[in-house]
Amino acid sequence: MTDTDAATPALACRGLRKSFGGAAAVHYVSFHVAPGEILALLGPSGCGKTTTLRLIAGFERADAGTVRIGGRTVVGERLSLPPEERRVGMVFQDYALFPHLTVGANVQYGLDAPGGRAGGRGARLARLAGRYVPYAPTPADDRVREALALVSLEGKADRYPHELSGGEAQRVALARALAPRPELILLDEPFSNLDTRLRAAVRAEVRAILKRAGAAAVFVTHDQEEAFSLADRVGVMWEGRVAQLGAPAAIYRRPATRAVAEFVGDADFLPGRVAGGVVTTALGRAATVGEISDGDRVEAMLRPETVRVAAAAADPPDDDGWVTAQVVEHTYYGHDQVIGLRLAEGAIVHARLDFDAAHAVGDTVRLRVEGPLVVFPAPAAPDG
Amino acid sequence: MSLIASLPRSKSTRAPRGPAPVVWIAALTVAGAMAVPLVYLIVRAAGADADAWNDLLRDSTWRLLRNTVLLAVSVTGASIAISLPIAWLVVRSDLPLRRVWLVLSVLPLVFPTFVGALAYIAAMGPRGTLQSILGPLGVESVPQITGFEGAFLALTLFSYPYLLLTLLAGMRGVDPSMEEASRALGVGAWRTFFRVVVPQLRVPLAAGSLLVALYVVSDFGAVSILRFDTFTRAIFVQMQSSFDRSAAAVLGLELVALVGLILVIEAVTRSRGRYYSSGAATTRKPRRIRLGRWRWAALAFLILLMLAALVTPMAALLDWLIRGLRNNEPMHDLWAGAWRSLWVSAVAAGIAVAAALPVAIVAVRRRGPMAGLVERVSYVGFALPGIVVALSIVFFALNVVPGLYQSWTLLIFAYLVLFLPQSIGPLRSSLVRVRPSIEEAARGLGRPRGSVLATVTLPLIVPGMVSGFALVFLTTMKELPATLLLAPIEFDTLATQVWLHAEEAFFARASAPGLLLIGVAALPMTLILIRERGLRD
Repeated sequence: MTDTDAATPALACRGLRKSFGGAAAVHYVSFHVAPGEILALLGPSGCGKTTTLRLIAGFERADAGTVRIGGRTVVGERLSLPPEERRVGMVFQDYALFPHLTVGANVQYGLDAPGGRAGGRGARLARLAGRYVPYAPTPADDRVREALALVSLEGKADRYPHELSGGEAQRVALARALAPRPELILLDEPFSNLDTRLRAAVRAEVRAILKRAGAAAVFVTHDQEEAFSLADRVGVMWEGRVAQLGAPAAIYRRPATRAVAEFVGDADFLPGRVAGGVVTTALGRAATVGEISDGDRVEAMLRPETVRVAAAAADPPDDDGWVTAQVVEHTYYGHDQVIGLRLAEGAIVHARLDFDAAHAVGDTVRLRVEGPLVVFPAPAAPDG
Repeated sequence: MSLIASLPRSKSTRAPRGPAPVVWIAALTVAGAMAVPLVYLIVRAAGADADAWNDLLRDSTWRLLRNTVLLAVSVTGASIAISLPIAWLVVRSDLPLRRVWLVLSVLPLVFPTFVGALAYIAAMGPRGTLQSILGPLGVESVPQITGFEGAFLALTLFSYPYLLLTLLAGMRGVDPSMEEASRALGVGAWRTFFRVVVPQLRVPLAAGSLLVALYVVSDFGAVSILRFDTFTRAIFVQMQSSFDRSAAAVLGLELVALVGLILVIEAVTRSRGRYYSSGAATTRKPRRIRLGRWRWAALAFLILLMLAALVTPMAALLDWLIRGLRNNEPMHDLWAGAWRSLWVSAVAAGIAVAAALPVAIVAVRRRGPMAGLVERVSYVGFALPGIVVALSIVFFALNVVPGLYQSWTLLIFAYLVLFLPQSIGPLRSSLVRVRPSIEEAARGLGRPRGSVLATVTLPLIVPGMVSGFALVFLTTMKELPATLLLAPIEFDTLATQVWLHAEEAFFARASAPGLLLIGVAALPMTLILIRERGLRD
C-alpha cells in the first residue's frame, strides 16, 4: 500500500441505497472509515448490514450512492467496479477457503491475480507441456510466508482446509484476505461459526492481527459485545439506516434512539416529565442529556449498571433521591447478578449487582439512579 | 477520481453477481438446441394432412393406446409389488445377508431391456435353453413368451430397480427421531412403521413409479423383440415402411401426450403432501424389525426373483454364446461394433458434459424465470422417448440440413437431447455444494469471472463431471431406437447388433454383443451403485 494520507479515508460511503424487489434493504447509508480504523456494523438480522458490506465488496450492485476505497471511486454514478478490481479483502462467515487448495495456495491465490506473479500462468502451462521451468522463489512466496506468520500459522502451509480447526481456518481466511495488502478488509459475521468459548480469545487475536497489519476493517455482527470489544467505532444499523455511529462507550451511554438503546444493552424505561433540562420520574428528579429539554411525555432510560441498591435504611430520612422498592426477581450469572425491583407505583426496574451482593426475592431495599439520564419521547408521541 | 467516476459505462459496470454473459449465451444455446426436436415434431404433425389425423380415430390407434397404457400400468404395479418388500427387507428388517441382497436386487439394471428380452426368448424359445434342460426330463414344450406376457415380464424384471433405488433412498431418508417420537407416544413398532414411515414414502414411490412408467412407454427394444404393439413399435414400423412419415409424426405426438399425462399424474400425487426430514439427524440407524419365521418366506421370494431376473437370462445368453462359438459364428463384426459403440458413447458423453456445464451453472447460480426455463427445457430429453427424438431429428434433418442425414453428427445430437439431463444432474448437485462465498472470495482476491471458473469452480466439480460422463456413456451404449434410425448405413453398434440378430432369431449371434453390453454396463454401474446413497449402509 502507498502511504495513506491521513485526510483520505480508507473507505467512504455516501448515500448508499439498495432495494430487493421494492423492499429497501439499505437506505441512504453514509459513513467513513479512517486508515487503520476498525468499524463494526451492528444490528439485528435483516437490518441491512450484510448487504452494505456486499455493496462495498461489489457482490451486490448499489441502486444509488458512492463508495470510495482509499480515495479511489469504486461505486459512483454509472460506475460499479467488479469485485476483483476493488482491492478489498473479504473474510466470509463460512471462511470460504478453497477446499481443493492447501493453506499456502489459498493465501497465494490473491497474489496470482493478473499481473501479480511473474510468469504464473505461462509457467504453469509450460510445465504442463513438460518443459522445465524452475520454481524460483518469487516475491509472492515471501508474501505468503509473511501473511501466514502474521496469523501465527507458519507451519501449516501444506495443510488442507479440512484439516484445520475452526479458529485456524478463520486465521487462514484472514491471512488470505490480508496477503495482497488490500486497502480495506471486510469481515462478515466473522465469529458466528466459532465455539462460544473460543470467541473471546479469537476476537482479541483478530483485533491484534488487524492492528499489526495496519489494515482498515469493517465488520458486520449482530452481537453488541463483539462489536464493542473489537471495533474502534460502531455503527448501529436499524431498518436499513445507520441509526447511530460512534465510539462504543458513547453508544452504550447515550444511545440515539430507544431502539438502539434496547439493542445494545439491557435498559428499563420510566415515564416522566422534562422541564428545564430536569426529568421527573418515579425515581425523583435528575438532570437529562439529549435534545429534549422540555416535554410532558418522555421516557428516561435506566441501564441496570446505573442503579445503585442499598439495604433498607434503619433510619428513614430518604434524602437525595433514595427510593424504597421490593426485590421481585433475581438472576445469578456468576460474574454478576441482576435483580428486578418493584417501585411503589408498580414499575419494575433492574439493577446489576456485584457477584457477592446478597438481596433475596421479597427483600425491601433502597435504590437511586446516578444521573444524568438519557430521555426519549414516549412511544405514543411521533418519532423525533 | 472524478475522472474515473465520469468514465463511460464499461464492461466492468455489469452486475458482478450471477454467471458471466458467455455462460448465459452457452446455456441459452444448449436449451434452444434441446427444444428443436419437440418444436419440429409439433410443426410437422400440424402440417400432416387430414388422413393422418383421421388415423387417430382408427381402431388400430386405440389398440396401440390400450396396449401401451396396459403395459405401463401393469409393469409399474408389478415393480411396486417387488420393490416395496425388498426395500423394507433390506433397510428395516433383520434379514440375513442384507447387503448381498441389496446389491443383487439392484443388479438386473445391467440388462438393457432389449438384451433381457433377447435372453428370455433365447431361454424359452422352441430350441431354447430351458427346453434343452427340461426336454430330457420329459417336458414336451415350455410356454412361449411373446406379446403382452413377454413384454410385461421383461420390462418388469429389468426396470423395477429404478423404483427400488428411489425407495431405498427414501426409506433411509426417514428421520429415525420421528419413529422414536411415535414409539415414545406409545405406538408399537409395526404400527409406527405403517403410520409414520410408509406415509413418508409416498414421494419416492411416486417418483420411482414415474421413472418406471416413463421407461415402459418409451421402451422400444423389448416390445419390438417380443412383438407387442405399442406406440414405439408402431412408430418404428411406420418410419421404415411408408413414405408418408406424417403418420409417424402424429403417432409420436400422441406418445408425447401420453408421457405428459404421466408427468401430470406424478406431479399431482406429489403435491398433495410434502415431507421434511432434518438432514443432520438421520445419522443414527433405525431399529430393525425381527422377521422371525417370515424370514424363510422373504428368502424364497428373493431367490425366486433372482432366478428370474439374473440367473435365467444370464444362463440363456451364455448358453447361446457357447452354441455360437461351437458353430464358429463369425466374430469380427462384434469387435467392430464394440469399437463403434465405445467411441460414439465417449464422444456423446464428453459433449453432454460440456453442454451441461453452462446449463447447470445458470440453474444453480441464478434464480428467475429465465434460468428456470433454461433448466426445464434442457430436461426435455428426460421425458421424450428415444424413438420420438429420433423421428423428429429425422424430419428436421431431411427438411433443414439434408446433408447431415444419416451422419454421426445427427446421431450424437440425438444422444445429447436424450441424455443431457443425466449429465446435468450430477453436475448440478456438485455445483450446489460449491458455496457461492467461495467464488466470491476468489473474485474479492482479484480474479475475474473466467479465472474463478477455471481455478476454483471447475476443480471442485470434477467428481460431478466424471459421474455425469459415466452416466451418459453408459446410457448411450444401451441406446437402441435413435441409433437404429439415425446411424449411418452399415454402421452397427453393439445395441443394434443385438436387435438385428434377435429380430432374425439368430440368438447365437445376438448373445455375444448382448453379453458385452452387460459387461460394459456392469463396470460403471458398480461404481455408481457404490456411490448411490441407497446402497450405503
